[in-house]
Amino acid sequence: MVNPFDFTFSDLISGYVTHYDPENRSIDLRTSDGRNYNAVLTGNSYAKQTQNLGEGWQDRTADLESLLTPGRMIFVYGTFFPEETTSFEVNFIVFANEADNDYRYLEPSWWTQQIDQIGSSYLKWQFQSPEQPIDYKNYRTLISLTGGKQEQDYLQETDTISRLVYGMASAYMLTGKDEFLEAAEKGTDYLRDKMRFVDTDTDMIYWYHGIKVSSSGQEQKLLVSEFGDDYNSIPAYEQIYALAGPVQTYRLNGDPQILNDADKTLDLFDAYFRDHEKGGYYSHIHAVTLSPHEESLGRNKAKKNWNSVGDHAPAYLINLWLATKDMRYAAMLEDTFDTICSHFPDYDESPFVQEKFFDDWTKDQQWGWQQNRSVVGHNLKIAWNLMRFQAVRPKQIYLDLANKIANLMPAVGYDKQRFGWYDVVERILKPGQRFHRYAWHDRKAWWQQEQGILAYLILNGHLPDNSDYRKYADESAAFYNAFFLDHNDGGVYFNVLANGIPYLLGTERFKGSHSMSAYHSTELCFLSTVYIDLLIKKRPLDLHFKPLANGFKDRILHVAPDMLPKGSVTITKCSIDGSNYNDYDAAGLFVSLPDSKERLKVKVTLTPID
Amino acid sequence: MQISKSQLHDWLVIHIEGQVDSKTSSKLNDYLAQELDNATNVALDLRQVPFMSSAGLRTLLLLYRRVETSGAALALVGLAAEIADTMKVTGFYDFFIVLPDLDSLQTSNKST
Repeated sequence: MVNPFDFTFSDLISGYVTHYDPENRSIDLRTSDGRNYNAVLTGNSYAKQTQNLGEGWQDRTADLESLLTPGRMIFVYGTFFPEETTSFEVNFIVFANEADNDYRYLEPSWWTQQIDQIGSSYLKWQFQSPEQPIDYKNYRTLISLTGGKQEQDYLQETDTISRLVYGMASAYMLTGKDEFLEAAEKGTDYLRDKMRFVDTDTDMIYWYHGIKVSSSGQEQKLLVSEFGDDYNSIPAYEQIYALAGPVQTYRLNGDPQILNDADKTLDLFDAYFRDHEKGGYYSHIHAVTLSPHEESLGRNKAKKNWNSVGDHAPAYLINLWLATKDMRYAAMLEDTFDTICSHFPDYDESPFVQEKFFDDWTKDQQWGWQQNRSVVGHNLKIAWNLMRFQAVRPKQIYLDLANKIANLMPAVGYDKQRFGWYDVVERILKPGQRFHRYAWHDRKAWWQQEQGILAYLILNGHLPDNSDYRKYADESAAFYNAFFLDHNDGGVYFNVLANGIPYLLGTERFKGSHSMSAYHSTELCFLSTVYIDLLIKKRPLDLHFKPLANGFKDRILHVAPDMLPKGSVTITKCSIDGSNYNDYDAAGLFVSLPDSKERLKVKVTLTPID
Repeated sequence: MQISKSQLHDWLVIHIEGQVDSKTSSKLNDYLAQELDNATNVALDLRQVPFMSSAGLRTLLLLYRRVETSGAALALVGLAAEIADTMKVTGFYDFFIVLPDLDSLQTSNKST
């Protein structure tokens, strides 16, 4: 039996203004799920507008009367006083928009500015750019909250470099700034030179876990994962994410070496990770025999999971298909999405998908930290990636599962009191429970917010009539932009508490770690820009490319930024090296590049079709 | 493939005869896992190994990581030129102490 709440505590209430009484300084508001609160301003209450990275503080304390209008979204942080009647006194308010304007996250260039800022921060932290040249010898997986690096005894993980490269390539596509392309290409070269293992027996490629550099300067190549979940094995997701950065770079430059590396890594997936009999991809293989069936793999022996099946698509495979339209990649995408639809739904038992499996697709609910738990963001990630792919290969099962997940998650993985998405939760309620229990804490991770924002933005883009999807996109994006951007040191926070306050302890204090490089924050910027500009706000979008002279096959540059609904977007303008260029297929979304011995700077304007 | 061991100076010498490929590398890996104590300097006598596949190279990498972590040294003795070339292609030749014969063990710098 818990005592009644007869103590003061501070918290966040997020919702929509229903009434403001300026005389009594009293705000009535309603939460996302329709519960009403009253909040009272004090003499010390202050208010600010949501600010983007690179923007200064925008005080709105003097504008409350004009801003606290019915229907306006607000974040109110304050203290509950449980007296005769419980009161809630406001410490501060964050707004998500001005007057009658759109939410700030929908403003033109909001996400482009954000990716520009994040990219510049990582260039500064990792390479001291622009003062110093970009040199990946100076790259460190671990960087502190303020971007500080260890100078001795450091680690360079393949995946975190690749994730940074993805961010740099995406930043170039949106901004056209050469420093981002340089960072993407140098990172891709570094991965190829230092992290690639060419199997001389089979001509396949796999990627080292990373390099450890000791204080004496000696480099040690790490073949197997050093990360606890995957220790002493070659995990599928590390091989998958090794391709994320190079493949996004390929979309810009068409470098055939990248395509070759990707194809040979796909050969590895096909030969060793794939279960040709029962379908799907194993999560781990043994470092010497490359078999998923070795006893020494322990709890990872002959297992399949979300990452090994589902991560191919968003990490590199959709991007590879967008750049090439090669049927091999479309077939693999279809296979992975069919596999997800066949095995992951488990709605008789839980509103969350099942994420871990034995060889024969029976459920593994004993593994390590996962047990019978679900990662909220994995569910959401399934939804938005199914929705992307169904635009290319329409199937009712894809649409049904994407919609099902999107309709279920707000009730079980979403914070209806404060907005934002939780982390890992128990899949099943125990008797008497109404809330799925949090596995460790109720903190909100930056990458889970990305999944929530993209799920509802992308579903809203493809299914514009669903107002609920737009509502959750609005609330998720507003929460993220209000609380995750680090205006002091740059980049985004790893975790915030449920109430939006940054959580800055342990590895969650870092801006670079085994989990965090510039990937999720920049993927969010990239895909948000694409969906908001082209499908939601319906405004033109400029994209930048710089193909190598010996780049794309048949000199065809595919410029579709994502798997958008057929016929929704057209090319309306193209320039090469600053001059207008007309040899493009407007509806087919490709440019026929001129024969050239030099690499070309290509800018394409995409315009939505009403 | 035959595997045996001996002690020479401060080194545990693992003598290997025959090719190290996808069929035999597991046996070598298991043998090494059993026989190696922590902080032992290890020399792999590869004079009688004419061929080493990628599986063998991966075994060397795992062994290297294990020995290095314990603070000891790992030497490859009598490496065939073709194997050395493959190791150079895969980018980890420079990590190993490569010696022409067992006599060189006595003068090798074990603290690298």
